Amino acid sequence: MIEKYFLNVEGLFKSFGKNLVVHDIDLKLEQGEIRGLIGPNGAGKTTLFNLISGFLTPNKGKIVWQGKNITGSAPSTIVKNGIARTFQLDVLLKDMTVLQNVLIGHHLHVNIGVIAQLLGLGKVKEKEKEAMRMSLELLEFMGLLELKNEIAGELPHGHQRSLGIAIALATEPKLLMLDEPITGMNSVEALNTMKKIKCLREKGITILIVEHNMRAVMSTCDKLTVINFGQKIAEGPPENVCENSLVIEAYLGSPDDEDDLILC
Amino acid sequence: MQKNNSSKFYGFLIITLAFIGLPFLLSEYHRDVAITLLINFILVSSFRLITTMGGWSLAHIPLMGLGAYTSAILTRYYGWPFWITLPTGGAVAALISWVMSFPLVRIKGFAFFIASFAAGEAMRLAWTRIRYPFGGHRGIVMIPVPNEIIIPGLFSINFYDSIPYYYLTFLITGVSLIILYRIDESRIGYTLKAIEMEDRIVNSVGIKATQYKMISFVIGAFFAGIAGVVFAHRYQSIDPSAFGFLTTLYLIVWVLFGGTKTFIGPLLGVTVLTIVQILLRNLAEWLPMVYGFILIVTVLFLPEGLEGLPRKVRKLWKLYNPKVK
Ligand SMILES: Nc1ncnc2c1ncn2[C@@H]1O[C@H](COP(=O)(O)OP(=O)(O)O)[C@@H](O)[C@H]1O
Ligand SMILES: [Mg+2]
Repeated sequence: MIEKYFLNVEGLFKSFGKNLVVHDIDLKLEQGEIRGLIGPNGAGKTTLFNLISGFLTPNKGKIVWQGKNITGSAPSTIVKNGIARTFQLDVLLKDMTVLQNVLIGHHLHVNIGVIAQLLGLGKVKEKEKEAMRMSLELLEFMGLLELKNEIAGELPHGHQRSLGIAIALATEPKLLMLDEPITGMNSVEALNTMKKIKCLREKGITILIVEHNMRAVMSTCDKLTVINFGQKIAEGPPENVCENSLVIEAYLGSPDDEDDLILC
Repeated sequence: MQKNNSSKFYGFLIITLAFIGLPFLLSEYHRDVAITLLINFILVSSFRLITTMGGWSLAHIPLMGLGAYTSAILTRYYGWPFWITLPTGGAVAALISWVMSFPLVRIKGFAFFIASFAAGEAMRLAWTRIRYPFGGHRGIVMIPVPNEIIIPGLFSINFYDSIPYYYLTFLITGVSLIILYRIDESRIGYTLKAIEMEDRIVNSVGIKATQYKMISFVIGAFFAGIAGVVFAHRYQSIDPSAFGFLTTLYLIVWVLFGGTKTFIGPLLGVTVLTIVQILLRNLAEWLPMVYGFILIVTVLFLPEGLEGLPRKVRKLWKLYNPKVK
């Protein structure tokens, strides 16, 4: 059977103890799209990312990637197959330099087996050179080139977010999942980052993005998926979704989140 | 970068020359201490490789013992030459550690401590209980020294003497440290540090952390085994108590005291504490207590070890001289 979708998530369930966090979610991505995944805090967006990237195993349901069932695979296998993710919080190699972070990100391309590396077999040197070249290119793209020798944990928040994206990009993904990439950035940084995300799509990378900044999401995404309490409540082009009464209720129903959200 | 590299090179050169000249300045007793120090260099550096991935293995000294027993048995009872049992001792320690690593690399923190301790004690129990070939609690005596090297008409080297044995140890230690340093500076070294720092990043970029942890554990054990072989053929007798918990405690204090962030840290730690040990020669029975005391002081006041000291001093300096940049 030919799989129609690039990524096809079907009937996914995940609970922590009695807390059902992902409840029968379907998510179908087409190659080349930018999909926004939105919903109030605690809706289960990050958990869904963790399930797709293999950091968590679903209780039920399946995840099919380019026709291949990857449900329950290890994170290292999934990223090898072309799905990369960033983290909501600034998860970085904080005591290493910016450049070292991205070099570690290139692991899959340099990896020729630990034994071969030890004995200096194969093309270790050439591959390391290549990784260095690609890392510098990536840092330039993300606007971090001047900061390459800074310690990652000492960067301002906005740059740490960008570095997180650079690390994910170093794995050369086909699908990039971004968890709140511009949260906490100032408006200039945010705008720049969103531009870069569009640019990545031009380069052929499919994107799934979780973000609370509605203006950014509206202007970037082809389609939005809205979840609340672990369930999908709406899906479609941004304009339509914003007018959906369920969506408005989901957000206005939880006053805590008003700061996060600038509705259309 | 350039400057840093050349000063590193000169430092390396000076220390190497100092160690080459050292035996001629020392008494017989101190020469023995120097040999032990060189053996301990291999121990602390290989131990540090394991700690870079976050595991403080309590099986390191028993694995050293495994190398020692392997070589002792093969030379004493089977007549193998030292030159073959040297790598064999390392390989046996590596092989057993590889088997041990299957459960060990999958557990963390306190459980890792306990499990590695249990594995080490199991080995020691086997040596104590099994008379042949391990010799029970009396161990193995009359282990031969490495075979004499004779070049007819020119010279012969007899390793019964301390000076030739010193240089033999120096050579083995040198090669071991160079290999361990290269590993530390390679992608493997960085990957191990990354695994300890943030396993989420490591997982998200496709690194199989358990594979790397295993390799660091196995390489570490290989060199512990080598250290054990060199130890056995110097003292010519070994028994299970030599590889007990007290020695493990010393190892941990050396490494903690020196600091594990840099390659030089543990080497510095063991050197300084060896000097302390010589100064306190008359208080030998109190040594475990002295080590306990040093451990406590290190944990409280020098959490980064000796290698963190320059930074601390600089900080204090700035505090009292605020105008100096
Ligand atoms: N590892 C976990 N263990 C227990 N509960 C969790 C865990 N991860 C997330 N949760 C819970 O799942 C719910 C959804 O969290 P999350 O997916 O982070 O939401 P979102 O990213 O949409 O804000 C929250 O109620 C959170 O407390
Ligand atoms: Mg989240």
